[in-house]
Amino acid sequence: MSFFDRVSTYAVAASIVLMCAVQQSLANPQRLTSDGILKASPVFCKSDSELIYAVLENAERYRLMKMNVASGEIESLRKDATTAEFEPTCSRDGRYCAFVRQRGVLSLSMAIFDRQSNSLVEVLPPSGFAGMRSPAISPDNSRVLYSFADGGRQQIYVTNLQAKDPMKLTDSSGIDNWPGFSPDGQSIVFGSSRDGAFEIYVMQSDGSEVKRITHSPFQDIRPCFSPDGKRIAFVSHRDGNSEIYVVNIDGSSLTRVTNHAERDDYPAWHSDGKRLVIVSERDGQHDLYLLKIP
Amino acid sequence: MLEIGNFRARTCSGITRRSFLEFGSSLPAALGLAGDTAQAQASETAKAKSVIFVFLWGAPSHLDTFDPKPNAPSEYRGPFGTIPTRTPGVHFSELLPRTAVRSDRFTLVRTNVGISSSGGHPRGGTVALTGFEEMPEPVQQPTFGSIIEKHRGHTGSLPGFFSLTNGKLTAGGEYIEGDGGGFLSRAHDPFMVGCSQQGVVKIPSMKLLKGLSPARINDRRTLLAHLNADRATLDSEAVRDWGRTWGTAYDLMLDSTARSALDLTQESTATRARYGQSEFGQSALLALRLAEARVPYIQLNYSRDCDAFNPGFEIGWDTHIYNFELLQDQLCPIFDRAFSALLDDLSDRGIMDDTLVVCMGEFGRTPKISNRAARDHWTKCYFSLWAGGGIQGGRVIGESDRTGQEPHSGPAVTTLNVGTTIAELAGVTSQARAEMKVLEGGTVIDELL
Repeated sequence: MSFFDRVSTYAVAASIVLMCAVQQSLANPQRLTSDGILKASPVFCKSDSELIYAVLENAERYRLMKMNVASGEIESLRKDATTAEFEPTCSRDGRYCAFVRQRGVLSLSMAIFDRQSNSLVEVLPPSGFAGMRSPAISPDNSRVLYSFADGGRQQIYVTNLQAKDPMKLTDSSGIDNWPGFSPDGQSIVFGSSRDGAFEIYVMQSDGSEVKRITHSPFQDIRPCFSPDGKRIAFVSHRDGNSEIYVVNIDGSSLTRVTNHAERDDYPAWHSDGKRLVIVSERDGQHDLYLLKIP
Repeated sequence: MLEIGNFRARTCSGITRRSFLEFGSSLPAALGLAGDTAQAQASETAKAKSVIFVFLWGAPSHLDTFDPKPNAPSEYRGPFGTIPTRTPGVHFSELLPRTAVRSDRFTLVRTNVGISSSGGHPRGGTVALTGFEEMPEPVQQPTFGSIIEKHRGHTGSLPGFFSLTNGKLTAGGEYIEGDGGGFLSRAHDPFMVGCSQQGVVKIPSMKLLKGLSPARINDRRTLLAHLNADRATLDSEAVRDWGRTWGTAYDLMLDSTARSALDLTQESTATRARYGQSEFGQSALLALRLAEARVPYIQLNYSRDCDAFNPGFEIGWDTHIYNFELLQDQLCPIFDRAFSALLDDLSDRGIMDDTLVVCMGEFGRTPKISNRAARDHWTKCYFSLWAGGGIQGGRVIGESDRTGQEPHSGPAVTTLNVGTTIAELAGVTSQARAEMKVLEGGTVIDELL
């Protein structure tokens, strides 16, 4: 038996055990969309009545969509957008939406859209190839986090809601990405490759006291705080493909909440703290699912 | 569904785009087309009855895919873990789990080299597809597919050289030049066919027929009258090209077996699902069907355009920014699923041994992570995958150095030698190549055979 076969055998056995453990939690996830188009970055807003997410509507462009959760009605969030827009995030009240916006060839800004006044401000990229990533709005609507690469390293920045006075929060040797505020706005969770593969870290909102939460030779990415601030949902490849996990903020009680040969990705919490909206690939189609967690 | 041409029609729900010729699943399915005698003779001598050239346009990083360097310094290795493959001792990036478990089906070359130390995508693409870097333009060397198509001919009504794309390949809006017949003549250019993520097959050049309704397109005379009216707006070369394309498309429409090869609805839902709902995934399934129909050369392009983000252009592998994110979020998952499904079905349908699959970009990407936390162009060392066509799987040929910057051992595999090897396996012998005056100076990659 080759090394690969042995690894596969152990992986299958472990998967069977894990599958039994999580079967209850995976019972009947609610499928929210059915068009199968590649989707990314869903997020609840307006007291969970609305879902905002990005779709790759064709080979050329990502577009932001909004879903009325009660009716299932889906429409474009920004009908007049002429370039790609993706990686949306929303303020708690749903008034503000921040996202990455394509401006030109390999040039992307971080845009903050006031849905009430229909106005938009941007943190512009420098000239040449450059772009921001992964915005996140603070609970009090005063700050926006994002990731930006300069000098070979990609770090976490914060700006105000007017897209002014950006400030660098991290200074690591790796790639820092996917920042998100805790519910009280005092902590920030993010992913970083500073120690090798991507892992999950937490720091104070001023960038101090960085603590590593996960340890895996494979990537742990896209973390987000639970509504009570006690847990973190994230994506990990530690068991062979992209799956959703939940862990306490001190790194304890790691729980796998999806188990499928296809991809499970992009977790975002419902405000009840008991469900996650995720993007799952099933039979080659990417759709939104609402998933109960243990 | 095969859709040719389109027009706007009013329906009860408003104006919608409709195709003027649509063929659905009711069409008879019958593959295994009879070719002409000359083609059959040429095909008989070929180890590879069909070639599928998977072109990862934009140039994927070799370090983040098939040649990871987990022990390199952090400014090189990137953030991805590595996974074992079915080939003992060989690891791939964690982004390619499905391809990793099929590594016994292909040979990985880790010492491809470009012949240009500089130059962007249009030139890099020309080098990748012709084997030659030429100045000044226009490019005269034919692409590999045109050489094989000229030698092997058509398969019934099916053209001998398909390029699966939604349009002519571009880089930043600039057309790649080396993707056609060159001095062999434009009659040997590829026949372009695109695929939507839902698997609707389209012929991009037929967009010139925009505005024609089915009632006006029911015979050649009506069509030609329409075209004559438009000739003033087209240069003569474009009209000739279009006329040839239309002629081919018309023949395709009249031949039920040829139509069948282009009709993905004849595949089961489960089969289509295994390739994924993406343009590339469904195009890979189309490539399989064309190989089953014994089309000599199929260029399966990941995208029409190479840039990762360029307004109005398809998202390709040119990741000067967001390299790690795009590989992880979109590029590798789509590729991994479709490529592994293609390998499975070629085997399951019994045509792997006489179908050659070659997969590569036009070059690699910088081993050292750039100032933008991504990777730029790198021609000194990159990868290619080779499956079928008599090539033994489960091997790695060539070893790159500690940081993936240059070949360390094994052959330096140029694109000229890639093209020469493809041509040889497809039955274009050294004598035939000499008579056509193509791929001059190229040698077969002995280590592969």
